[in-house]
Amino acid sequence: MFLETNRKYLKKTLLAIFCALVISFLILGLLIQNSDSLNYKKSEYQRFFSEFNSEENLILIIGSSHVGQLNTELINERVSAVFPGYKVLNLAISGDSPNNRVNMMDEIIRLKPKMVVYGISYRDFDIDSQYFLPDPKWIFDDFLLFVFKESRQLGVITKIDPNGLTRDIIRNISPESEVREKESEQITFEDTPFYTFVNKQFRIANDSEIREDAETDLKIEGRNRISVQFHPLFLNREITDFKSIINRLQENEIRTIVFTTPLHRYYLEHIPVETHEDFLNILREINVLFRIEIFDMTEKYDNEKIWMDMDHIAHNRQANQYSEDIANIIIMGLK
Amino acid sequence: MTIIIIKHRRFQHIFLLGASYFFFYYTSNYLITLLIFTTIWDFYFGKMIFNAKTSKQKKICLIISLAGNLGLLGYFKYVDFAIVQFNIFGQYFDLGYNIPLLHLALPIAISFYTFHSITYTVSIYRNQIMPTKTLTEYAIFVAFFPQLVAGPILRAKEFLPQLRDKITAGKDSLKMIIIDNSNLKFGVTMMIFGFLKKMFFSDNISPFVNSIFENPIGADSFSIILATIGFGVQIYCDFSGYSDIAIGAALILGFRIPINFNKPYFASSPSDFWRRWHISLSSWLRDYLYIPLGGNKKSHLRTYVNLGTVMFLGGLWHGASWNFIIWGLLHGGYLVIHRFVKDKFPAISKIEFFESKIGKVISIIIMQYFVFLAWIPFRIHDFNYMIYSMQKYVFFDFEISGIGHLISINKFPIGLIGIFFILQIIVFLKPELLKRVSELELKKWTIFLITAMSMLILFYVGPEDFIYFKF
Repeated sequence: MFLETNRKYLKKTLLAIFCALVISFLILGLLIQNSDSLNYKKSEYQRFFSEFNSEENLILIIGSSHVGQLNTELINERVSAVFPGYKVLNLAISGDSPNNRVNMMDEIIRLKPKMVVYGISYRDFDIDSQYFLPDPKWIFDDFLLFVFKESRQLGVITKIDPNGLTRDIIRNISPESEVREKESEQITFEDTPFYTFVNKQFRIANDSEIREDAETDLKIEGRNRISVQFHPLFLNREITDFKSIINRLQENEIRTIVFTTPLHRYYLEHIPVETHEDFLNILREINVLFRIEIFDMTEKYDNEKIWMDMDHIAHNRQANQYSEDIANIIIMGLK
Repeated sequence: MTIIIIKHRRFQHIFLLGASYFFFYYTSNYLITLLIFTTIWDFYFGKMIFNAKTSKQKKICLIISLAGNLGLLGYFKYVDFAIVQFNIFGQYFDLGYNIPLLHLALPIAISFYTFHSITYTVSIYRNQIMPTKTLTEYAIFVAFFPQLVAGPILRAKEFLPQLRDKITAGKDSLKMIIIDNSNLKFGVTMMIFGFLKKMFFSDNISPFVNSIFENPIGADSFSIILATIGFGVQIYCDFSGYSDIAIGAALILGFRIPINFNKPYFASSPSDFWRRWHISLSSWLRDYLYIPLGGNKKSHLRTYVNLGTVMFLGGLWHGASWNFIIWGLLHGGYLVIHRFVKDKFPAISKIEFFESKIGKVISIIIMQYFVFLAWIPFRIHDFNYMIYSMQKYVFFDFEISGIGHLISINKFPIGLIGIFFILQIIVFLKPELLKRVSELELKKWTIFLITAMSMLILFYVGPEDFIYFKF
């Protein structure tokens, strides 16, 4: 196929294309290595783990934003009332998944927690691909993660966002940047150090707002069902990494409890039956394989007025029953 | 050994077909069976049409072939839409019966490869081409990977001869696929421009457009107009970007496929717009629908009906949804009105003012006002949102208090929209930019590549599907 009329020029052209590719990726590499926001986050995480030296018995809660919304202060009150000297830390990260969390396991094990409580949901195992072969849409992302795996240490990022980084740099040139405005509105709690709150997360939305949120979400995607893809289960790296996390915790004799995070009925109504079945099968397999307790809270509050949107309970006093239940699970586990 | 095998021409064709099927399987999984079915179906019906002894037999074979193609397209793409309409109709007449939806997966590219196949059988029927000698050749034509999922729509009579071009001397009559330096440079340049359109412009403008059109109720006219312009730029960059990538990739392999866009936002009339936008579809509709319906050779009224019908079906081709039908009918309406004015008042088109520069600029602005108005139903599926947005677009509300805030939080996408139009004007005034760039000396061309690739990588927002993948 490669019979060319002018081999010399063709070789030079191919070399030029190769050089352009290498140089442009090098530029991205330099950007990632010197990114203020990533380095800031990474150094924050490093500082937390290196400086954390609690005398107390530690209980860690891990998971995504579904877990981040918990009222950890209340959980701490409830747990320490029954077990004085115990401290609960919520290490939730927004957008976290097992594939991301697995990078943080060395640090988590070094903290020697008495118990790890892991909140999971459908989307933790979503591989966003319905095919046996890797989805071509994600090849670029996977390539970036492979090349710049240094940046994934400590689970700082779930995905490299070159556009976000580039625009951060451009914005930082301007003193009145919208990023800084947004940053000033963010709140972080001491017992939930990796998760930031904005005003919206404290507010309980009314039914029509949640329905609108659900409809908008479905409309954007142009479909009428929530698309969560687990298949093929044996190639699903999220499941593999989840098992690896549980395995490492058990190897280090750390008590592990899993719970499924609650979802609003609008979310549940749009989850395909086959996805629900697959999720239950994943949980059953983990239950049998590791003999760990799994608390199913998916539908527990599906009709309550405690939601921020269709998959997040508000961080609000009136929505404390979610945190109360998690506190009870921890207390039961410690007993 | 590998090189010897690869140099074998017959293997090249198998390799090309294998690559195309692998690409399709990669994105569509089991739905590749439909592509294979269409290929086999039309390959054999092509032979039957050619070998038929009477014109009646030819016609019957063609009708069966078309029924197979359109039946498959109709079933997979339109059956749920038809059921919904039937159920609504049933409720209206209180029939008390609801047909359940089938929830079929929409096969990627089915609209495109169905139209490819139709050009083959129809061209044989019209004695424009001979059937291909082998199934492999025909399968390559249907599944040729650069353009498979979103066009340009290939014509059998243009593409098939390329598979048999005798570029180099040899006893084998199959084409030797040659990577030629100038084709490689031009092809890569074209692909880079395509990627820039898609990944730099379209994907970065898309979040701004979505933020307005997700729920436009309450938005002021300025926001709606800006988002509409943004969507016009987004869809042009998205679709013409894909076409550029497809044409460039094909050119690298030595195949020439037709251009699909020719500066559509400089069109000065509805017919001019359709000579510049999605050219392969509009010319397909003209040759395989408009002309067979009688075109403009019958009465004025028949011409208007034909135009309306073609644009209605053109809209429906884009998707089984009323918003695409409204989009098609709007464009049909523009074409009919334009034609009516030309027929009834021929003196208007001869007014000198319209030949002057300022006259042309005004014609372009007026035409684009209507083109962008039609993008609203194309983008918004919800009927209430669509009507609200169209009202705000047409009747400006002079609500300007939020303009500063809107611009301040969307500086980047709005800036990109501005840059896009400036570049369009430059390209319009200095044509052949692409050729000039591809002919740059190697050092300068490498700098161009590095700059363009860096822009692509540094402003990469994540994997966003091409809009036309849905069609």
